[in-house]
Amino acid sequence: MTIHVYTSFTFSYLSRARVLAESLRRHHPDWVIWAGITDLPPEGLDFDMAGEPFDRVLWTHEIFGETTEGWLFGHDIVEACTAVKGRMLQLLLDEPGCEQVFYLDPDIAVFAPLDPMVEALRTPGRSILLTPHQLVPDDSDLAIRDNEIGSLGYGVFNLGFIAVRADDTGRRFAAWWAARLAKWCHDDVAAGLFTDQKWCNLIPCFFEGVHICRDAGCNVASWNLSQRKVTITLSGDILVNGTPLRFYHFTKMGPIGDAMTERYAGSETPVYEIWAWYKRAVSQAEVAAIPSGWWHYGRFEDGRRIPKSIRLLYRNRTDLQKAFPAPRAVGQDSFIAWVEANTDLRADP
Amino acid sequence: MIGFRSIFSWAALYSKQIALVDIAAEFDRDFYLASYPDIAVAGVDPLQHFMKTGWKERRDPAASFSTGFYLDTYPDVASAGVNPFHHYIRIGRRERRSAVPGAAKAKQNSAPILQVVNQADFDRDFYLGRYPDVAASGIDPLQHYMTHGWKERRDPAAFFSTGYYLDTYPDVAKAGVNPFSHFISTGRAEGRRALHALGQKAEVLAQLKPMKDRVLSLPQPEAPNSLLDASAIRSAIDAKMTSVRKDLIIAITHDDYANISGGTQLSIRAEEAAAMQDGHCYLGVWPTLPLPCLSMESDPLVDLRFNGVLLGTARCTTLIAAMKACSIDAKRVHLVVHLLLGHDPGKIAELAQTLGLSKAWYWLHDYFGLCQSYTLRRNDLVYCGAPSQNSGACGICVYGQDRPAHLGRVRAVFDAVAMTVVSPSEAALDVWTKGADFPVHSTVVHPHGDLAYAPNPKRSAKASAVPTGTIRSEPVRLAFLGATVAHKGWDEYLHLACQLRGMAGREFHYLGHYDNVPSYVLRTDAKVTGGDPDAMLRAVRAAGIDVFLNWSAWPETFSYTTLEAIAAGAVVLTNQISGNVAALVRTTGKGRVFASLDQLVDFVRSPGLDRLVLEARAARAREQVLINRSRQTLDLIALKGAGR
Repeated sequence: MTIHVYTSFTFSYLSRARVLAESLRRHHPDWVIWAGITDLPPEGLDFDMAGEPFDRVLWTHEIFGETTEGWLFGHDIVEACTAVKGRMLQLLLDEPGCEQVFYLDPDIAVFAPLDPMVEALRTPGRSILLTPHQLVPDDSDLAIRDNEIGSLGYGVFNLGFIAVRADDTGRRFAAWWAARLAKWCHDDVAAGLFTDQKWCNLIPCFFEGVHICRDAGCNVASWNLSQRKVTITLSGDILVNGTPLRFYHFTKMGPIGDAMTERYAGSETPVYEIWAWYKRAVSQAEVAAIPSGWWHYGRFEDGRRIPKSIRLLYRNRTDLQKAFPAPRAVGQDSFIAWVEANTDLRADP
Repeated sequence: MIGFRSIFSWAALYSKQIALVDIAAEFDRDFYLASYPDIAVAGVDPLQHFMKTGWKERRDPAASFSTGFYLDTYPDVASAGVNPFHHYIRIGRRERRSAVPGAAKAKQNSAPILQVVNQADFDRDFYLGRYPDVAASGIDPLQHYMTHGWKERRDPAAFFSTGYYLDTYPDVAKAGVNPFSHFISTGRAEGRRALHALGQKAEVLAQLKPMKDRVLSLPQPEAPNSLLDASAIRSAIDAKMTSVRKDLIIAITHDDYANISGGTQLSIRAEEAAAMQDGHCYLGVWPTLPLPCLSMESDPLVDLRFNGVLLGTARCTTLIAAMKACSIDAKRVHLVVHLLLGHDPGKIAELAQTLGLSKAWYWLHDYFGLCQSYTLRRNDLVYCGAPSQNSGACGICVYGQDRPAHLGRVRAVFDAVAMTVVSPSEAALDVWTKGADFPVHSTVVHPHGDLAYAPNPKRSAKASAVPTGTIRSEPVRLAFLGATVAHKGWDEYLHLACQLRGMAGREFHYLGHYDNVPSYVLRTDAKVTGGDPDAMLRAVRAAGIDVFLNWSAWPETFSYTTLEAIAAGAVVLTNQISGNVAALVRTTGKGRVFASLDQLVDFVRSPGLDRLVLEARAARAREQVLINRSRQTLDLIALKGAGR
């Protein structure tokens, strides 16, 4: 029986995904690591899987076939990379000999074996494993606003991680999730939606065998640092509230992420050391041939950037979807020609 | 009919809508989200947030407008209670009011800048101490900071990091305004941070580079004009080794110990002098290219000093060939590995094997044998304890990736000969023993020196066995001794001195030969050399130093300065991980060991320090403490020849 693990990214996040895969390989050399890629390589990049830390690749265009262009056009980059997760999960659960499937966001790195989670899913009656953003209530108004109210708006469970057993319940969940994400994987918090994540608030209601992982060493991130103390012993163990750090979620690498980390990590060095390592590792895994902000599906065929407003227009109009099944095309009868003739919307230069 | 209440509400709503339309046109959503991560995380609409509460919290709607500055500069706007950005758009701009402090600066030359950052905010002493080049130039430090310093990311005071502020608040960086002015005028009121929660350590982390990048960024030294050949080395050695009664000590060191000042170099010089005094020969070998790691070349260049005279530069293989050709009995050759930094251990092992040596000596001057981080500070910050190379801690350490290869290469020396590990302290040997798994023949503790107590020959008849007098007559003199580097605790000393400067009964000193000393610390020049090993001891006595603050960030293997401070009658304040420093304090009873920096600061503020110093002064009057300096390996080697 095999454990499959996948992540979902575009080439802009290849360096992060490599760091994740290498960290996974270190602790689980026998797992099959999949790269789910919603992108096409930029010119000049020779993407050779033989040199990558992934075992297999799943291309979105291979999964969704002819409908890929039209379907993806209704999504921004974050929505797109999360919308494919459900369908990918279904495919991996059907791999021969599959026992369990793990999903990890590309901006996660694994620091210790995930064996307790594997064992948790082997417990009879358990099929789905979730990690909440927070495990204990916060104290200050600031932390409550940042963390608890954030969870209420964006989803209780963090979908940087999910593990599913290849059984009937696991497959029923994957089918439901894939169906919802196909239509409603949107970043529209006011409408009650937040990509693939908010849907998962419903998992404990709809499915039996849901296990909520209460291991403080899992999915450590700025949204739970207020209640998790990271320490490093003289024996070299990295601990979170006294338990081994299993995986850290390096969300929002940059000034915003740094500010949120600093808000809750205080003056203890370990969290900053972990971040500094991650930044170095990502920097070392960078590929010069990938232009900054690259996303094949992010631009019209003439190179102009697709603004969210035009994506929303397309997403909300089935007539336009039918009329323009290849909406990134340019030219006389293209979707963008129609948009510019009939609306005030314009492609970004 | 529309009632009064309805008309009022409608008017208020209408006015809000106008404000919303005006502000929406100039509001920078991306800027707002980037500047205020809490808004980004909360997921609220940034424009609505600014309209509703943001401006009242003095948040800025765009890089071009500082809400706090506008309210502070124009009290008429503040007292009207209107949205200041709306006021600026509708009225202020027409009236040519300034929207940001930088605008005022541009219009009014340099004088108004000094009003924004006044003398009280700017720390002249701190600036001059931190930046000796400014002090040397004679430029007014505030003027320097305001015109050049902030652009060079220099800090105007201990509580403000220019680089951190610019990196953390892209709106300030984008606006091109002086970050300290921004902080003083608006940032502070907006709740912006002036300094990373980690302080200076954050900068250390940000600057960490993998070793190969560090080495690549080192300046490449000029190639030597000529290299020694094997016959030249051989004839120089053979000429002096004529007597059958002479032994040869080959010392592997990391630099030219004869010309570089430092505790390790001092001990090697003492060893060389002892060998020559006894009529033996001493060959010092160090890498021509100084490196923070093992040599990355297969046959590195080494410099050679024979019996105190510089021979020149040679390839390692040339040295090995020369030694092979020398007519020396292997029993009379003693290999002493002081430091492997910059060497190729494989070549040192080859040298030992070529000479047919059966045993050698390996000194624990530091922990380079266990890790490239020779002070065992993970990421140059925190003492790590040299855990397993596969540990999580090594996984996130900048030195961790190279550690398996490093250990493998060091092992070559231990595999080549039966090695006796010599430690200058029990504390260092403990650390080494826990961290090393090399084959070791034996271990021995041999301090670089020890203390001998004798009655003070100048003791006055009045000298009492118990402390007398009060501390008020003479302030407590606290000092930092030696190299002003982070791993010796210099930053913590400055932190303490900066915090307590001006406190009655406390005086802060620096004794050494480094220049980066702020003016609130009194500097006394003291440089220990081979010819004057007691320079620091004398200086501590002469300056009447009561307290040596040694907040070492790693387990020091020995610490000459601690020994010298105690010998000079001072007490030592240190922390629990300082290795032999804490051990000396405990065994001599001359000082205190603290669990945290906060505890130390509290103690220095307290009358407890006064009592401790009074006791020390009484002891100084009673007794004289002498240092017996060791002859290093010469005390241990069973020399076949001349002998002492």
